Amino acid sequence: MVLCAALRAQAPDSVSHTQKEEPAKSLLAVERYELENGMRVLLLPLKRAPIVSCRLFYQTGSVHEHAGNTGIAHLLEHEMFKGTEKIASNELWELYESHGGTGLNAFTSSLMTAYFVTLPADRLELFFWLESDRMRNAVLREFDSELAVVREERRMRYDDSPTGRYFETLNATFWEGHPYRNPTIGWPSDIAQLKKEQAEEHFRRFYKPSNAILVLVGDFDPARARELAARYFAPIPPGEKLPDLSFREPVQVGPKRFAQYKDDATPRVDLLFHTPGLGHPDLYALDVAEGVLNGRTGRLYRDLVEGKRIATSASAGNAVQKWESSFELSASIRPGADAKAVEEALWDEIRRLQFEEIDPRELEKVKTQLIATNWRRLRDMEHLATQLAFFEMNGDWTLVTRFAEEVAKVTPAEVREAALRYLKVSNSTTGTILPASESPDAVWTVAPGAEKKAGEEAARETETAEKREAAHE
Amino acid sequence: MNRIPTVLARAALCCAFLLAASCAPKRAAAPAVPDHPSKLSWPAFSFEPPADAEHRVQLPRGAVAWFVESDELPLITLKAWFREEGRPSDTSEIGAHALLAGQMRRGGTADLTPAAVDDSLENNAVSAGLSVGANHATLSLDALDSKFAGALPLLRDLAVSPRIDPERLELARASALQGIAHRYDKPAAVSRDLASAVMRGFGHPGLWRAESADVASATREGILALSKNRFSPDGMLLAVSGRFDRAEMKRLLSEWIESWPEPGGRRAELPELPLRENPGIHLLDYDSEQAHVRIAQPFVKRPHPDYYATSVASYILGEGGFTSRLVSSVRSREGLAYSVYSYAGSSYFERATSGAALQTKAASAGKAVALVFAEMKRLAAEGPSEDELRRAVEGTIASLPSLFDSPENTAEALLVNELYGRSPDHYGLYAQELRKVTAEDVKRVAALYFAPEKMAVTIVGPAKEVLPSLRAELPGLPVKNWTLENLRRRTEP
Repeated sequence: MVLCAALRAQAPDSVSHTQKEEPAKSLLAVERYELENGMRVLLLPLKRAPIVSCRLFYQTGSVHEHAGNTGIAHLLEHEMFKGTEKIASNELWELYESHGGTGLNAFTSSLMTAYFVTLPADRLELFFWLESDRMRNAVLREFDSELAVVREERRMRYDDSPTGRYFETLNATFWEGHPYRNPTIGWPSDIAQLKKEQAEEHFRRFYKPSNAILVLVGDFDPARARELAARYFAPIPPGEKLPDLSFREPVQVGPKRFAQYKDDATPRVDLLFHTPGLGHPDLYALDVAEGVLNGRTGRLYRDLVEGKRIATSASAGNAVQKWESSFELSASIRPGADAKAVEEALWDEIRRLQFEEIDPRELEKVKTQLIATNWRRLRDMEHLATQLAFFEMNGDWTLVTRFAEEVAKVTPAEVREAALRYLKVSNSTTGTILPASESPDAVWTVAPGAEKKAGEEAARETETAEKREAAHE
Repeated sequence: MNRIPTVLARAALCCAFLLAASCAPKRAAAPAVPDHPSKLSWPAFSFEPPADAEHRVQLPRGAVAWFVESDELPLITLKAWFREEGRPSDTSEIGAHALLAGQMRRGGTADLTPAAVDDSLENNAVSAGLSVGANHATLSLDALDSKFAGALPLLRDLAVSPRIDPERLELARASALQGIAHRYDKPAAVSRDLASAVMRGFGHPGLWRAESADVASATREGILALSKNRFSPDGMLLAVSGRFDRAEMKRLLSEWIESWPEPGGRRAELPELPLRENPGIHLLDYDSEQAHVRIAQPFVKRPHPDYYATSVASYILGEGGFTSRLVSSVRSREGLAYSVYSYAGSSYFERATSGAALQTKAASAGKAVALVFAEMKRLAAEGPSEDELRRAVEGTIASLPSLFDSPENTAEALLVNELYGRSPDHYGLYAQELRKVTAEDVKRVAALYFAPEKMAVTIVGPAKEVLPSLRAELPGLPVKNWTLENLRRRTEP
């Protein structure tokens, strides 16, 4: 408290022209419209440098997969670089790069598949040509070798990562039925059997204008961008109307647990809770709860790391997704500390949120941080373009700019109510990584000599207990 | 709010490539769409990088700043560079050095406890950073424009009068010891340290990674001693961007720099780290699915006449994404690797290395390395095609504007010219230098710096699967066997 005042006291006059602490209007002047075929277009002219960040998002990912074809959306993303009827394999990459394209890549997540590049401003038409051609005429070449590449990617990201299989299993434990449980990379046995026909069918179904969002951020003339969108994408048939995902995660009926026992990963505890999908007003209160828990002045660090000294790090995350979301608390267990004590300490902090109203100063700190963080996210053009596409796909791009005002409205009572509503034992999934020696299997698979030793140990303990009881008698 | 999930996202995001990675308008009559993008026409590429003189501001005590103003967001960012060596010079310093930057940033100041510093910064949404790198140290500040001026004195105090709080030191020590215990959980981390050991040896304390004993024995006094005179304001370089008035910012920073205490003398410059050729296979047996392969030889220290030609050669060999020869061969044609690339290291402070890297299933290691060697030899023997050379040069030049895609990046891009001793017009000259590179140049430097016979090939993976593939594909290459104990004990096999 004293220091906060100290920092203010040290402050000379502001160095800014203007005292109004909000973004310039030009930064938020997004133009959104739809082509007649349903393709959504978001345009944000910004004159920072003579470049344009270009994004084309398709609303498809591992939520559109099932056991047997997991990984198909991601494999198709790889295959989309193998050319079209007019373009040779990898020629798209070559064309972008030879014209100064940077940040060229693609990704697949549970909900979306994104293709992106940043181009010199006067080469913008190249993006329209290549992406509209790829949407219509993709040819899935070199399928078997690309399948092998994806298997290498899986080995690298999951099988050789100390926590790769842990998070994959935790995810599938948390989501009982929702396709969020599908790993985007695909289960190993599915990847091994994916067929080109499956990828072609996925392409035919989902790579259509009515399922796509185009975003441009940078130095361009909006009239010219509209003309290019009309010329290149408007003639493409809209594609079949895709129904919204109707599946909803069943209400959890009791706490779930998953533990992995291994020595080649830092021991940890994760607590996960189901929360509503993007747009639900409770999520802003959970954003504030996240802020109260995080940071060096946050409750998790102060209690688990500094106070009880049972964790080396601890954090919370309000992880928002389209249909349903999760609120997560995590801690790395300090060597020598008890995992149960760490788990209990996380629960203690949840109970504090549920039964004590956060004080006004803490609330003010969190709101200031959330708003500043949100503005910082708008600094990077590529990130801003991705954010616009992400929120548009989730229903409303204006959440990028409305976030600050929504957070500002949150009251301490709302944070408490949200914590009570969602952060419940019956709604929780607990994951832990613990040393191999603590595995139940380790107890039952000891060597014969050790077994005998363990037996002797147990006999001694029984004997001691009997003596203690006798002493009491 | 994390708009993309955190814990669960680790199981849910995959990329195509890893890089070393309604108001519907009325349709107007428009030109026809050409049947191939090569028929699209563009104006000749022309780009004037931001002029140094428009942004350079002289400050007291020889400090220089680059100001890039922008009203877009109510934020101001400052990053300051200090030309100071950041490596331990003695074995006794290794543990203290490993904890130094973290404790300067997190351990409070002479006047303020660590908790008071955290409170002050977090309550005002100010982000402050402090780093001690091998060749320079940095301070950074990212604040709302209304909080920026108030945070500057604290940033100075972190650098010149750190408290190194004993309680915080113990917390950091526990965390560091846990990190060291799990340092080699990932094969990629083993691969990085093995490559360093193979190329540079263990002959200099600056190359030693802190082990548990080093961190356990580090003292507060040792860290305090290392912190002295590390951040001298004389000659400080600053990149400042965001919403501010130029004259007012100049006045504010001038006062700030004048407020720094006189330094007690600069730290001694350390000799360059050793670098050697160490050809052959260096294998570390490790329980993993993939073999992690790094291939390296000594390269040059910039500025050097071969640098530009070698960067073009590397682009053609394996840096140019899917169009490069290594990606075409090892990834697209053979499906052996998700990530494969070449590189020509860039350093103005010491000699860098050139080489390649990839990960592949263990049994394919020999085949993948053989393919990389074959492509290196082919480039040295045949040189690039005219088209490859044009794409590498013009593509790189056309990507220059992306260096200046935000006020923060623009300010830093201008500053590093000074830090590296380059011309203020470096980005203009860069294009000229690249355009001078000929196919013959590429051929010549490929033979010099992508030479399989000079390459140390480090492989981390299961030996029982890796070795047969090496014997089959690269017979006759000597294999030296390393262990994790070699890395931990700083000994060569």
